[in-house]
Amino acid sequence: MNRSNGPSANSDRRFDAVLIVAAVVFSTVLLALIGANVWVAGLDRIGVWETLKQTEIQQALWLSIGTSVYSTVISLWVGTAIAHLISQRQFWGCRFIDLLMDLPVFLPPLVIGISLLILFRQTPLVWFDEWFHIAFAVPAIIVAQTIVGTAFVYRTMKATFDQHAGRIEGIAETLGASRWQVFSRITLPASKQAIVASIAIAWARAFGEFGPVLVFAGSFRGRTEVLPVSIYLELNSGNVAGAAAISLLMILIAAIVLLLVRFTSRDRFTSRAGSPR
Amino acid sequence: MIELIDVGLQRGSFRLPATSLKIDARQCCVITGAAGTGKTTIAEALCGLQSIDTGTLLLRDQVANNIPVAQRGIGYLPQDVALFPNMSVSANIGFGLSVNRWPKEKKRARISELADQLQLNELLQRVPRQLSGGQQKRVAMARAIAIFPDIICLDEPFVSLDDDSKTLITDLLSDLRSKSAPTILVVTHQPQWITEISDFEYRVQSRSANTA
Repeated sequence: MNRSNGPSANSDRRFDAVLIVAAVVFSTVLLALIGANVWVAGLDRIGVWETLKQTEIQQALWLSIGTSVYSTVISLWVGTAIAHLISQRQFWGCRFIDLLMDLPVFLPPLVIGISLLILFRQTPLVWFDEWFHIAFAVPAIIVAQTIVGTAFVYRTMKATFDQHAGRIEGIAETLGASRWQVFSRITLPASKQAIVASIAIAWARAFGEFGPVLVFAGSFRGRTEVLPVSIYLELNSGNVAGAAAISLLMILIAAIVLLLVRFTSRDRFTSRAGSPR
Repeated sequence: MIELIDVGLQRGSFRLPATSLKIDARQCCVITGAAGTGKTTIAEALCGLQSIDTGTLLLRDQVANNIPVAQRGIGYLPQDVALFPNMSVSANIGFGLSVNRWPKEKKRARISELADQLQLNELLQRVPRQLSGGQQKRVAMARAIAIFPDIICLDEPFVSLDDDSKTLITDLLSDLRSKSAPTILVVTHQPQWITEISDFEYRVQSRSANTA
């Protein structure tokens, strides 16, 4: 039977059409979003230039990059450690921790912000804030970014550890390896793709974090102003072109990081010669 | 050297009933039995990859129920080979030597010796996914015996091998027995390949295990 003319072929074509329509429509929407910023910014080039030249915006750019790098490093460390623990060990309460780790992903960002503020300002932990000056300061930005980033790192790393690591880790132990040797020499290298993905997602979330940062760190120009807060402040002052310019700046930086991540995560062994016999 | 006294365990719907087995030092025991009777479970319990619910496991005349996997000193070839995917063949074979802090020169010489014995010389720089099933099995075999363990546990060493490779493994085991004389436990459903060099066969009875 000629499959290209049969009823199944029609069904295949319809199925493909649905997939293609979804891909085309969504890609168009994403390009339109970027295009809208370019268009608005293009209408007021002088205003855009004036906005980007502002010292506060340049400070916000460096603060955004700095805090997002710090919080990504912390998220990666904490998220990977907890994911490894929960994936490898069964103990009382591990399921509760597993559930808890998803909470920051599902909570509204504003709730995270207000919860952090209450924790550090309205509970007996206020002494901690008085000593270390966290709320409404740069550490507040890092804490707020880290909360969500860690949850994403945890989920990504745990899926990888669950998938393959348990078996080969056990075999490595039979060869005399300590748990640290197994983790550093087997688990982590075997999870390279997941680590890169975790870094990308944690950094992207941190770089664009707005709600918790605004509530917990405030929106003090030149002090706790990160780029998403800058967009908010420019919009509040009616400078739509300036807000669009900052958005484009964030899109550009995110695109560069995305390309770097894609380049880094390419497997160096895939292009090697040699096939199974 | 190895003694299982009424060793039993339950994992989900699978139950290994009380099993007793004694293998003296330098003996070679072949474990056979139908699929799903618990042959691999016995091997994994011996290595510590499965914890025992009941009974006593003796290794080198010491109770080993709670000895950590890394301290059991058993060279183990798992049924699924489980090579380290991020490492080359050479690094896989040398992993046990590295973690046991062998000097570099000694380590290189040992890897080279094993590569010669198991015909892996051309494959040392490849990664596991570039190898066929038989090649992977030979690498896992080399990795298991690299540190000269005094107990070797091989789970289905002849599966996915052609006849030449099976002969290679048999010759290697025969060579090991004549030189370092480790205690060997082989789980297989192809006992004909090892009958000549084994001391006795332990058959796991299908009626004694309950699989869903």
